Amino acid sequence: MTGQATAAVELRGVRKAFDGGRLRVLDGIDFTVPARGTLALVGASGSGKTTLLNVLGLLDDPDDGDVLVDGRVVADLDRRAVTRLRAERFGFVFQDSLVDPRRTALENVTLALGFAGVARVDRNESASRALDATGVADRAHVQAGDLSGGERQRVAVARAIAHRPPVLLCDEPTGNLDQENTERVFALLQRYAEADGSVVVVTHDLEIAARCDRSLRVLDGTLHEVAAVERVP
Amino acid sequence: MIRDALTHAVVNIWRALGRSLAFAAAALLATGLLTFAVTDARSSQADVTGDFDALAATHLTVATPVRGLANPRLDATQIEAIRELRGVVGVAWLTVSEADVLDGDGKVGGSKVWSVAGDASALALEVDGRPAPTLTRALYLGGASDAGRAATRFERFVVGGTPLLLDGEVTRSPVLPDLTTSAVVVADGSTPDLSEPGALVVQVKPGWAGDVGRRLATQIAPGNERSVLVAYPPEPEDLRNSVTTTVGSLVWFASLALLVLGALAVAVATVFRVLSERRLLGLYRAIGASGGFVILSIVAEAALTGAVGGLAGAVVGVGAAAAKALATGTPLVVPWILLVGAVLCGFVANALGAFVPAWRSVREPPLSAIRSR
Repeated sequence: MTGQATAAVELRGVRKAFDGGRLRVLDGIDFTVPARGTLALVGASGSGKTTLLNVLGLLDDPDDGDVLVDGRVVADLDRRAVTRLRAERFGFVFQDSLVDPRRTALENVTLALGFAGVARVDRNESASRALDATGVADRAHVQAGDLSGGERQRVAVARAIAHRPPVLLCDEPTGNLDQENTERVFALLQRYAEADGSVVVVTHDLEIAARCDRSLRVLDGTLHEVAAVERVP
Repeated sequence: MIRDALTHAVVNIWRALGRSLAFAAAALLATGLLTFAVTDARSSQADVTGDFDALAATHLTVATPVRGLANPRLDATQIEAIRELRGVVGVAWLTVSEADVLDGDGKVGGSKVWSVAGDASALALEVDGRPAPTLTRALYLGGASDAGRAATRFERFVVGGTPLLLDGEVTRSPVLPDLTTSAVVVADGSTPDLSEPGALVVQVKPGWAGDVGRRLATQIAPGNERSVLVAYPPEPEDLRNSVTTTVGSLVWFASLALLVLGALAVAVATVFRVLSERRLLGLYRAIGASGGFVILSIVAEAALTGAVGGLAGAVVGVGAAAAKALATGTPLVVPWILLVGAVLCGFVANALGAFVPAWRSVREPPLSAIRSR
């Protein structure tokens, strides 16, 4: 693993169940997201990878246990403060190249910068920088609906990293991309993890997981380290 | 946040122009129908009111002499007080006597001679086939009288021993038909003497006869009102009120129904719109949009398109009502205040219609929305 060992997000004894408690998905998870590096979460469908990502990204509350961001217990914050914390401290990349098709690439990024509390005068510059970093600067003024799938996903990455959040949470970021775009997007994520923050990737792609600094399998509500030998294809 | 949300709403309207136009068209249709219905109904109401006004009494007559009055001559103050009554247009008073009328051949004929004072316009006379708002000179002859028939040949007459020039022929007298068979002379400026035979005629606005009638007796004979008989044609006032109230109620009911239906249509359309954008709204929420941002942008978009559509609908509705009024020859009454209210209500209904689905969308966990299909 590269980077520092300082915790960006920490889970302490987190439990989460569905179906009235019958389906226990997370069962006392203790887990720390470091300040740098890539981390893969793998596991079978329904194992709880996405639930863990939701809890990490403050999109869902645990039934029990604590989530700490920058050392602060999230449960102690009100809803508005949690929304603000999520916007400022996290970046999200979702499957399906999810962007607003009616807005240009630049507008997609500036909109997210607005949510993150970036001043209006700084938004265009930050957005342009992020689009440049993801290689779609020349497509900045094209409506996202007219971009290719790979371009849209790179715009989504630009949107996630534009405000330089400490933690980037990615849900199957390369799930619907061809090989060439998968390589491009994953390279972007790796570059971010080396220089700016931590990248957590939920993936079914073991090849991607193997290239991450660390890989964890979600199984029976707990986390298991995936050995390096297992990760090498 | 508010500026960002409003900007977001405007961009949404502009970039999804087809959808915005569909929303605006729905608002246009609802407000257009509403405006047309209200304006047309108000015009019809005015038409009905006009019809009733044509039936309404416009003249009150007090036949004289009035018996039992301590002071039968009205003074100028009393006449002015009658003129000041609400609904009164004018007051004329007449006395009648029998006199000999000599024409140019010196033939003698007996005739009633009406002496007119006050506002001659209150009598609604026609002289020589034209309305005669004033009687400025001395003699007019009833066209149906013997003397009137002789008037075609002579201009000089002697009435009751007084030589007079003929000014015209009374061809129509709807208030006092007797004037068409009599001689009419313009009196001096004296006030009416109610002990003499004749009449006091009060012209009123349509619909005011009953009201003025009750007050007139008090003005003429304070404390002795029963001795005064005020006559006027039967008033269709109750029927008029009943019909106009019913039409008014129908207008309000139709307006309310259209407003409710319009709001429901917008709410349903917005529900589908929000459902179709569920993933996008989930994305916004996930990347940090506050609930207020999402709600405000959805509501603002619906309200703005609703307002634009509503204004256009109001113009179209008034135009259609005007065209119908023109084609049918009915009066056009545009209830401007109601119209502004309708546009405002459309705006508010659109906003409220959008609020519920917007509020529901922010209650959904962002990831569930993003993963929805």
